[in-house]
Amino acid sequence: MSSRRDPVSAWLFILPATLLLAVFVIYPILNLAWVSFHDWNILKDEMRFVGLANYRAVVSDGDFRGALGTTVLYVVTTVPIGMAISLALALLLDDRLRAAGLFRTIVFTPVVTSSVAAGIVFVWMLNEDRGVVNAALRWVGLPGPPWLQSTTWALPSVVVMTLWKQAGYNMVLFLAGLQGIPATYYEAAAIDGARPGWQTFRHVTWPQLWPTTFFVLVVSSIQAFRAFEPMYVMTRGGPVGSTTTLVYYIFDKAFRFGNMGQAAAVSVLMLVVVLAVTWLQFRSQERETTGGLG
Amino acid sequence: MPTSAGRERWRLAAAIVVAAVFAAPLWFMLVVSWQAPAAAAAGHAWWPSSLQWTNYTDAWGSTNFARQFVNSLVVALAVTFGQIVTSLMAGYAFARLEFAGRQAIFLVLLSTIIVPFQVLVIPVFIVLTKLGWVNTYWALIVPSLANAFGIFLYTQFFRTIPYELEEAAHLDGATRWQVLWQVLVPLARPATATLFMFTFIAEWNDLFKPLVFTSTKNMRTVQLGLTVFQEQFRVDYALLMAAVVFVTVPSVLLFFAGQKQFVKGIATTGLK
Amino acid sequence: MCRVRRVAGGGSRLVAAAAIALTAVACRGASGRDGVTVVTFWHGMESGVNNRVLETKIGEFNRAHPSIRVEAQVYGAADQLGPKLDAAVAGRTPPDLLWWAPAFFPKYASAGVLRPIDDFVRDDETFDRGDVYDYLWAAGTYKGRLYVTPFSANNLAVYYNRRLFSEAGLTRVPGTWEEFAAAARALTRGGVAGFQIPIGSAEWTVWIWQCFLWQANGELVSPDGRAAFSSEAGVAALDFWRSLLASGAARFSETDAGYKTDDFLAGRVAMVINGPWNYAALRAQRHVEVGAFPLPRRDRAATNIGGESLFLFRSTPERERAAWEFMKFVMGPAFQVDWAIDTGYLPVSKAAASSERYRAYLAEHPFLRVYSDQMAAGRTRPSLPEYPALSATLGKYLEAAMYDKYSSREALARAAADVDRLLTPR
Repeated sequence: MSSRRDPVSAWLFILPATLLLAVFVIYPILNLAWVSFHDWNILKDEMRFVGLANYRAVVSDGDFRGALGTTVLYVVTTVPIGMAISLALALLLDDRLRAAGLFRTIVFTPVVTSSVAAGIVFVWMLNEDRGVVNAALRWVGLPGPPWLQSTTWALPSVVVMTLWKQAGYNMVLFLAGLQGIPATYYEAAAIDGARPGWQTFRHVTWPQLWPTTFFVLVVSSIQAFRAFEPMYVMTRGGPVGSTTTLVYYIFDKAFRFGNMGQAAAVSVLMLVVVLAVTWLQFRSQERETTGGLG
Repeated sequence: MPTSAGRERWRLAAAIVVAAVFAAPLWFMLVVSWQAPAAAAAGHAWWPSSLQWTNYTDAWGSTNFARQFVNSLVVALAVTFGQIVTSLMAGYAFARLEFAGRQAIFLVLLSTIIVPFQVLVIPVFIVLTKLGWVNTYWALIVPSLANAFGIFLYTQFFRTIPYELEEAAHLDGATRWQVLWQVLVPLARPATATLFMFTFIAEWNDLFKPLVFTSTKNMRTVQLGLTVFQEQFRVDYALLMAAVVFVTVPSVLLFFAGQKQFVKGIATTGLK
Repeated sequence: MCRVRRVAGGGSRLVAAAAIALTAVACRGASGRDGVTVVTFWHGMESGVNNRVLETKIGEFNRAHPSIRVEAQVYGAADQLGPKLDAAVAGRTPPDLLWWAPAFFPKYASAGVLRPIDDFVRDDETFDRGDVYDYLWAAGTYKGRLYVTPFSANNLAVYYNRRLFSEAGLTRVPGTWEEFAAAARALTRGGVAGFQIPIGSAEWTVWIWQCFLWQANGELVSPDGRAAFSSEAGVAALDFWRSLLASGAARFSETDAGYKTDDFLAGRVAMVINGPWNYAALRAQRHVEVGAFPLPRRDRAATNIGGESLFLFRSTPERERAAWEFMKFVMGPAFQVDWAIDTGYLPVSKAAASSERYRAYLAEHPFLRVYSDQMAAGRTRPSLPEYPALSATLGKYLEAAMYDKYSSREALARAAADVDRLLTPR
């Protein structure tokens, strides 16, 4: 429609958001990119141009590759599993359930609970000899590993804590999406002979839910790439770096090792990787439905 | 095929199990919040051995929580309203209007979600010191007034609304501004409720931003208040958990009250 | 300029709070009116006894010095201070005084944001430099100039569970490495571990391991500024820890949280290495009867001296002088005796340590006596701007070795190579 071509209005509408984001996020990102080509001692306010030295140092750092690997592992486990759990919860806890509001609130409370407190409790629950988890395992005759002191089990433990903490968040998004599916669609499907349960889900719910699902996928992936708090409160990135994600690595580089230049370089690399992944997600969505942004 | 009543019984049973699993860690926090502080140092227990409610009053009195609640509330509300308004406007433009560079700008804005705050904190802090905003509400509010998450949310949401609904208004001579606020915004209630909830809660829970941008005691937020119980080599578990309980309650109540909102949804707003 | 709002009498507390809040917002920490010099003081003590004592003392100081007002602000957990402080310094708004471990000051000194205090120490006649332990001055010196003053001291010793010891038939506390290992083995029974190794890669682990390095006659850094821990002494110290773990007599603590006393107070671990600052909490609990003994020796006895110091940031001559007055006050015997008795920290002033009151106090508290007596065998960490990075590097490899990713020799060699790169001027 020709009336939709309205650059003046468009710019006015996006101006407040764009201006704020430009000053407080985009400018710092550009600043960061510039810093990544320097050796910066922020205390002395000295900057020395070093070209690609920071990037070369980072890429050849075994710890960086480890952090990248850990992050990818974290993302490919928490995102699909988390989405599945959240969708299942949204379907389970809909309005037909008695006291649905209460159940939803219980599932959502972890989202609003302080990460520090959650970390403390999970550390206790995973304590090798006194924790609940191992007590339960021993009760059924299984051995209980030293969860957070093991390089094998630390990351899975952090993943489980993340799932517990985030499930309610995506559940809410799915609930909003589910409620947006008009009842008429379900009525029509029933008339066509679709049985309740899997068939309805496959033919009505899932397709109608797609914009929401896509939104959750993109947002969850980005959040997973940015993960920092669960590792920080449970394992401090250990043991032996097995729960060090990219952001944790950046944080360490900047504030423990004091190397702002390298921290900036890793930030830029991370931005590029996540942008690429997000762009791919959008591209594949465009092929599925017709037309990208509308 | 199970009967409808049977299915509902299964649903209830499943919900109870799920709730128990999710509530378990929360239960442990409560247990610790009731323990005598000396006993709490020995670590967790499964069942409360005492119900020491004085932990709550002691925790409250440990620092200026009253002022901190005010600060958290002011910041969270201001940021939430700000994000809703800026995101609504931008979401409308991206969903409905065509303009040069739309896709590129959208992606650039979206990329701002990717970079975590820990990474941006120092350049932003320097901007804030130049503006003289450190240790004021401005420092906590303004940098968060826009968020690409909200823009993305509304963009997706508006795309699901059929254009016919606005067409009538346009034909009646309404300006775009009026169309946005009088037609689309009421329809966007689930999205707005969601964004309100998420943004409020994110701001309420934010620790890092107030930590770096403020240093005076009376600009503290409740999350900073919680750090009071964690000293360098010691954690005051009982008081910390008591404080966590009363710091978390507002968000939980907000959710409980608000979760009905996105249950109502478009189905009742006259699509037919 | 600050405008102070007057609240009409009888107003509610809420109005008063709002007025105070507005005032605080309006007066952003400026050097005040009425000729009172305001000194902003950041510290990390907020919970419980320590904070109350500090607030009382600050009140005392402010009353005794009417032209100075020290305003304390708490920064929370120490590991949250790094980014906050760096941002403040980068934004040119650091505090006037900072309470923090002296190991971190050289980084700021070499950046030129700290004010050296040699002239204050030398020229102020009301201050006696000799009253403070020499090694504490050494810990505050960088490139020949003095920057930080000690606030309080502590060191590391071993907490032990008396009941578990007597149940295992141990009548004496161990003195050497061998005796320690034997005791740990004897104590490991019935689900209890003899010793808890502080596993992790952060400073807590590194500063404890240093004690063992020193006990084996090793050094962290050589006089000419190169890594010296990749030596026979280093290998012996690391192997000692690994042997404890391998023999089953020791278990890992929570990663990077070896300072937590949970497992010890639950009676699951018989011995842990920790400091005197938990004394009040240890006395208040009833689960475990706690005793203490000095760290075991090999070639010599050694413990790591910790504690916090006061950093003085550059500002105006008048604020710097005012801050110095507070630094002096803190180092004085009167403050030190009160502080030590009320909080369990150790005094930095010799006069305080040998005072009647303090000696009587120690006689009643043998637990603290152990720490106080160990000060003689105490050593401090090297004053290097790269110390935090050095510690992070060494910690990484120590942890990897404990998890059997490398042999002790290889881990230390790799760590030394990385550290040498750090220490080489660019």
